[in-house]
Amino acid sequence: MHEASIVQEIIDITTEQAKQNNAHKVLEVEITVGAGAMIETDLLSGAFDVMKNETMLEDATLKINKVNLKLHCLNCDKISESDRMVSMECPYCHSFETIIESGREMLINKIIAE
Amino acid sequence: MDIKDINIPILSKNIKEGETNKNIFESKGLLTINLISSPGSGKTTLLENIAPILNEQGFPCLVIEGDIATTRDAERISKKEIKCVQINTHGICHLESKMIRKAFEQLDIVNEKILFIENVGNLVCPAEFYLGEHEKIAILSVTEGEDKPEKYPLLFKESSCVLLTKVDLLPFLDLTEDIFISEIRKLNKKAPIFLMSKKDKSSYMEFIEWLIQKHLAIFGGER
Repeated sequence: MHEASIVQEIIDITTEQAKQNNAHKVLEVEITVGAGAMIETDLLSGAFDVMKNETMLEDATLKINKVNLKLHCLNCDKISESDRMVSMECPYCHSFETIIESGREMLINKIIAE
Repeated sequence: MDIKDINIPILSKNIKEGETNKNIFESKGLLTINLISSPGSGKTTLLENIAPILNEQGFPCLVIEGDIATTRDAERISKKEIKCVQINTHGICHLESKMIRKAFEQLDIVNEKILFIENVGNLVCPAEFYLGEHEKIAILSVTEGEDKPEKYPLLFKESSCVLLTKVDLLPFLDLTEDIFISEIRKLNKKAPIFLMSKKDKSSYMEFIEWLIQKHLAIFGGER
């Protein structure tokens, strides 16, 4: 439930970037959220729609690209993918000796502004 | 206009603020510990019990208490004559680097060597926010059940040490310490696991020694 903190960061970073590019209005923000980032994207969108008011992002839409969590098993060397947070268990050999290869990221990729 | 390919990590500011915190903590000679657990696992009880022992051993502590509401934990800690400041997050489920810096500025530092940050009771969100700590520690009480590490894997995977508390209650549960240890070990092969109970003060000693060794490793000096 830390989506509001994430939205505040999105608004702050986007405003900063837009100002640096002499823009006065943001139309779209595109972000990537990994399945292992512990973020509920519906809640993120909801928070964005409320929190963007009275900022440069007031008329902006939030585009969310979800990416899978990739787990690399050190036991069988296979890589498994999941679109949600998992228990770290390899689905192939059931070992827990796994590392998260990717899918924990939360990035601002692109801003459309004028 | 399109501002493309910027790929800025959304939590980059918090990480940067956390690094600033870490520099400040190190300039004051403070080993900083971020304590994360669910509510009621015994974080405050742990601090009440270990702070006086650390003080006797020449490693006095400071505490930053994080809670959604009330100053009850800070009051408990202050009764033990430990310098403590309370952060009330008013609904936010975790602490962030900026909140820590603001609270830290209120502490009068003399010769303290360890700063404990008692995070908001929650196994999910606090694991996502770096505060500038040297060590992140997970606490699990036996009454929460052995399935919690697997259900909340990130915290247990990334902690540098796991504390299993309330072990005096094990005889009343259908669980053994071996079950807890093997469940934690599924996710974290390396972190030391310390078993403790407030009914047996000697159960804190191994963890206290671990903290002192961590301090000596960073700041040098002898006991």
